[in-house]
Amino acid sequence: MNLNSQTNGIVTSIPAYSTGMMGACAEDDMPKTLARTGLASSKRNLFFHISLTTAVMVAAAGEISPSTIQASARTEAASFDLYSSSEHVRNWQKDTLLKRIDQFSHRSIGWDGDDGLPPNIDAINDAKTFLIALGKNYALPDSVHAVGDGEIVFQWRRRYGVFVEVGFYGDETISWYAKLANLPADHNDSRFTRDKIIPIDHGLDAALKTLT
Amino acid sequence: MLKRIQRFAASLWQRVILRSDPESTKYLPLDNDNSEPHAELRCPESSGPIMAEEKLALGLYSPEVFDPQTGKVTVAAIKIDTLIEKNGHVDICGESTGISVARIEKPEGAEELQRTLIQIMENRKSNNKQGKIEGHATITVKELLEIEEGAFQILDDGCNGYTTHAVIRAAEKMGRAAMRGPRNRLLEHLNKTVVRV
Repeated sequence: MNLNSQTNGIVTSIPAYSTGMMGACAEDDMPKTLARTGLASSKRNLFFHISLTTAVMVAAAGEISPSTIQASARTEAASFDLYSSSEHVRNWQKDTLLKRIDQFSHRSIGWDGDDGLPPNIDAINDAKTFLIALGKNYALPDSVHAVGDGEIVFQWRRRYGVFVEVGFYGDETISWYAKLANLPADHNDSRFTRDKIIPIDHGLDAALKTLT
Repeated sequence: MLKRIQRFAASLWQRVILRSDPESTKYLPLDNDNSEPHAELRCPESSGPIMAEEKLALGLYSPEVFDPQTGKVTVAAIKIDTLIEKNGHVDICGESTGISVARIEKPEGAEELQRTLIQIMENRKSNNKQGKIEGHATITVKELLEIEEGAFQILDDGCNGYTTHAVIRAAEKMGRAAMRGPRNRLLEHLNKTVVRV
């Protein structure tokens, strides 16, 4: 799974995925993520240990009090916990969204009691491809929904009426709308394919970077 | 003679599509102004022209259209392709395409909406799906038309058994992306007016 394909905007360089494959990819990613995080944590622990030892030596020389060391240790521990947890949270969020999209594929016609259509396989794969291609520079969606017209829609909401929405119908289009604070709304229906590298519209690209 | 028949038929089948004229309080039928480009024929069972101050109610049921945890109407309540209908909207009294709403202030409004929600629940049961009727959310015609100028249309669509039926549609020029903002604001508005049963 290539998560680093967003260097010049979000691109969709990922080949077409089937639902089953995507589920496997999402699961496959987890141990690597944990391994990376574990390595990062152990390096930080070493650094933390050295800096704490240094602080104790300095304290012994009478420059700072033991209570200051304790406070400093608490702050450092909190900071690297936060670092590793933010990466965990992002991976967990992405996984959760991907699994939620997979669940939509199990819906049948009339799932909402009102002639609702389930999203087709192309809508599901387009939505997943888009989500996977969202790198660290881009905010992950707050929510994903399947609407009864076959659409899968991602939403981002922030204070002051900031709202971004991206929808996929599986018809090789991406439909988006972005309203940022103090800016006029921007929107477009543009072409989206999974098997070619297509940068997303500049307006959407900028909006999603702003939300991080 | 032919003209008379045409006029008689028109008076029976007058329907009105409202456009962004929120100041107007009255929407006259076709025969008053044949040049009116937005006017169509009204359904014979309709409860009459829709007024600007009239409230339209969207039926709510959980979990798809209403989230009982958050107490909010979900995005699934307003389907963009149903608003747009890219193959062209269908006008058949009671079956017209668009987002179905009830004219709740009419005497039969609440009862007819309730009946529709019960029908949806029965459909769900036959599909082995759980669900619950949660209530309704309202918006006036004027408020709807003010969400964004020229974005929405309202079609009076009463039929036998559902005389207060109306449908909300996107204006012809609107595309999917352009309707996302108005849909979001419509949902925000509906969320302020939720009445739970």
